[in-house]
Amino acid sequence: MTSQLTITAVEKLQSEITLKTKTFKNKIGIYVSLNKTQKSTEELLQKSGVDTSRLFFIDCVSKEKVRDDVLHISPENLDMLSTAIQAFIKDIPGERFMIIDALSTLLIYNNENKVAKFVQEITEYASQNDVYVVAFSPKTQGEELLNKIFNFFDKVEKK
Amino acid sequence: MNNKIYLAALIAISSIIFLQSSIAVHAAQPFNIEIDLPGSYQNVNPGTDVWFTIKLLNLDNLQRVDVTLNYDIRDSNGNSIIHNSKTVAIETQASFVADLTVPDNTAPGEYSVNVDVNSSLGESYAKTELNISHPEDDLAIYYIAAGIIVLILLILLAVKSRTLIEKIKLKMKIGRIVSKKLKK
Repeated sequence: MTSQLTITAVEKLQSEITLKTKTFKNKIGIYVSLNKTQKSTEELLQKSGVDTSRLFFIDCVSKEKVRDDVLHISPENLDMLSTAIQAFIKDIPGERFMIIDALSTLLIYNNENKVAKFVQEITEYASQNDVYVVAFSPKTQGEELLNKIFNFFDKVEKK
Repeated sequence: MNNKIYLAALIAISSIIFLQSSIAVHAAQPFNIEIDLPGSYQNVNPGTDVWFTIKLLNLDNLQRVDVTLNYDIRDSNGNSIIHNSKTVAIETQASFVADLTVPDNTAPGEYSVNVDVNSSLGESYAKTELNISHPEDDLAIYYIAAGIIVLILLILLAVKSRTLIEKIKLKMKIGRIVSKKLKK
């Protein structure tokens, strides 16, 4: 199994993300932040005891460049986002994982079909490269999208 | 007597129809002349043979008469650029096919095909319009269309290559981020 979609209540979203991220001990991760800025996400993860030095952040919320090692990509530009994810997967050696928080946020900027295509593209690429993908989505948002992307994940979890 | 009146009326009606159908016919001339220039020869390129039919009608004189047909192509100032002539015999009416080759160095513009008929009865003439264009003019529309297509392709290529360059830059940046972070 290389991919998982977790659908959870909005209030539980952050705790589920933290919990899942903690399970990837000693692995290097790519964190696609669609829900919060990289800064606040990192702070929350650090408070929960996650070693964020092993995480590469793609911040799709904030445009402000604070750190050189953080990529800022507009959520409208799924093509570039996909390119960035694939480049990270290619460049990071060893065991890797990827967290995508709040997939449904992409629906604010893109139509369902584009988002579904993007999800298919990255889950396929991750699977080919043995990268574990965990995508999160709040329960109440983007049901149509979730119906379209269920099949791209090996496991779908509702919490 | 009735037959003669009928014949005279028929001739008169024929003459009127003929006069109306002529491209350029001048009154008070011994011959009525019609120049029939087919549509395909009304707009030609230099070096092209222009074929036309000269129709002569001489209703006044029923005797056979020799006529000299002078036909040429003239520019808008009346200068002849190509000329030819032939002598023919005519009784009441006759048609002749003639051709003129437009010289290679002819400038594009409005010209006319002129026919002068000289005979012992006097002189008659007629003319019809002829347009000479250059092959380049005919191809201009294709050049413009090809130019627009090339321009669109170049714009698309520029947009595509810009995206490609951005992707390459992004990949290089990610390469730097990963190697820098993992070295620590």
